[in-house]
Amino acid sequence: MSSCDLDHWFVTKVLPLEPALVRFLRRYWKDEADVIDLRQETFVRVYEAAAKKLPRHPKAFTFMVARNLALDHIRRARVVPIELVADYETLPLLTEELGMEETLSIREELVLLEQAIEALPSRCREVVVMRKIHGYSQRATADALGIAESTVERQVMKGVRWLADALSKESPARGKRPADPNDAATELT
Amino acid sequence: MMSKALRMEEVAAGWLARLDKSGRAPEPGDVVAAYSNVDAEFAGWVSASLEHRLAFLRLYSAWWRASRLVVLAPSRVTPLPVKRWWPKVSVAAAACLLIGLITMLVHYGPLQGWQVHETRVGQRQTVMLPDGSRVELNTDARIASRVTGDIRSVVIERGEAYFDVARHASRPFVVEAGDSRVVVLGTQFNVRRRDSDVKILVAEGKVRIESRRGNSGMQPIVATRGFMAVARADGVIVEHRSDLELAAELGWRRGMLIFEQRDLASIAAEFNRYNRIQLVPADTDTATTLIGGSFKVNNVEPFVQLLESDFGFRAERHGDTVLIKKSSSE
Repeated sequence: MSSCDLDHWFVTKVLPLEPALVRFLRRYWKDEADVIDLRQETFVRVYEAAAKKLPRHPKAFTFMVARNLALDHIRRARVVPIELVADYETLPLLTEELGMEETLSIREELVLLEQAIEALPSRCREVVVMRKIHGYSQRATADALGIAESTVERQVMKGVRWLADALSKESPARGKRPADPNDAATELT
Repeated sequence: MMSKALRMEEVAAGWLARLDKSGRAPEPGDVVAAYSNVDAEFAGWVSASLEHRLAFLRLYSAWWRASRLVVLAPSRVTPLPVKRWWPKVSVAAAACLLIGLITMLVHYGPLQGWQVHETRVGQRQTVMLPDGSRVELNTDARIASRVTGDIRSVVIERGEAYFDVARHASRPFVVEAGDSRVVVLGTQFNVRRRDSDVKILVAEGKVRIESRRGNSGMQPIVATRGFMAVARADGVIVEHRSDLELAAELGWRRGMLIFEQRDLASIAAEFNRYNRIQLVPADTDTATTLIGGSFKVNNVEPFVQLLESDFGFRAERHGDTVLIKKSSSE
């Protein structure tokens, strides 16, 4: 599989799992820095494995990787986080994680995007709106807003991280679909 | 202790901001290759480790989704941030570039007080502003408005609008379109913008027309009823229109196109603003034929039939295009 195809697979099948993945990791680590590092490490492992052989059930596979990483992390740390449940050795993967329909509808993504943009600091928001929503180039944005191109670039840097975090949050509350039995992986044993 | 992933993300964000300049966005599957071709330093960084690559992809995917969502969204509108034109700034403001790519937009409530109003092709709409002013929007138009305690502002992105401005002694009403600016206290006037061509017609009262560009060398003009200012890239022309011509120009407000012996080419162009069906004169002979009359803007078919029955033209229909030719020419 070419790296283009792999990137595409990763972006469409694995990245959308981020909210559920982070929720899962947060149950065991309160330190946000740890959670983010584990999240990224999970992504790296999944990508590496997929480069050799594409997992048939990306969702289940990703959670399995996350679970194993979490276990490793605990063992290496030799300190049991107090919040950990009693049976941390087994770290059961609650079916709830697998069950929730993670792909947001266009509508839901839009709502998230709206909220995300609205929450941006004002200068950052102006730049993001012109670049992303109105499709102005960096130069045109700088001209139209009367600021330097380097400022635009800086605001884009800020905005993109903000958007990435916002768009990877939970979906707005809605009814959860029951687990699709076809999703449940036999790889999870 | 900062997370390693977060530090990497900051670097990735820097790359994204540096490389995403043009507004043209490759798909996430292609972006690493595309940007690596353009920037060797980036190619080095992104290939150095998978962590770099994935940190970048995570950010880029969100950035890219933001523009995709906008295209897929049901038609809603979003305010266009506008550079404050007051007080006087020493740097000349460049003209705003056209928005070509995005046709459908996301609504998320007023951005710093700007409200956007938009009409589809063939649609007309009247908007009431909070100060009591009325704005009539013609076909395929888009404007943004903001009314504060100090100033009432409207920016015309495209299309035509008729302003009936409520009189306010201390609050100027400012309309900006392309490089032009119209300042009034209370009056009625019409502004039509297409790309960098702006046409301003005063129906009542007095308006001040000036250039938004600091170095234009253009003196402000005070225009009264009947005056028409046409601003193009190369300059401004001011003419006077008779009451009859004024009524003809403003016929659109009643859903009418009124022509006093105008060439078919420009009549066709006018009809085409309002309709999906596009009229095309087939040759110079046809294009320069003079026609006069009043026509309903949306009645393309009756107009075409009139051309055939009364003016001796022949119409050939191809999908959404109607080709008009003189029936004598074969």
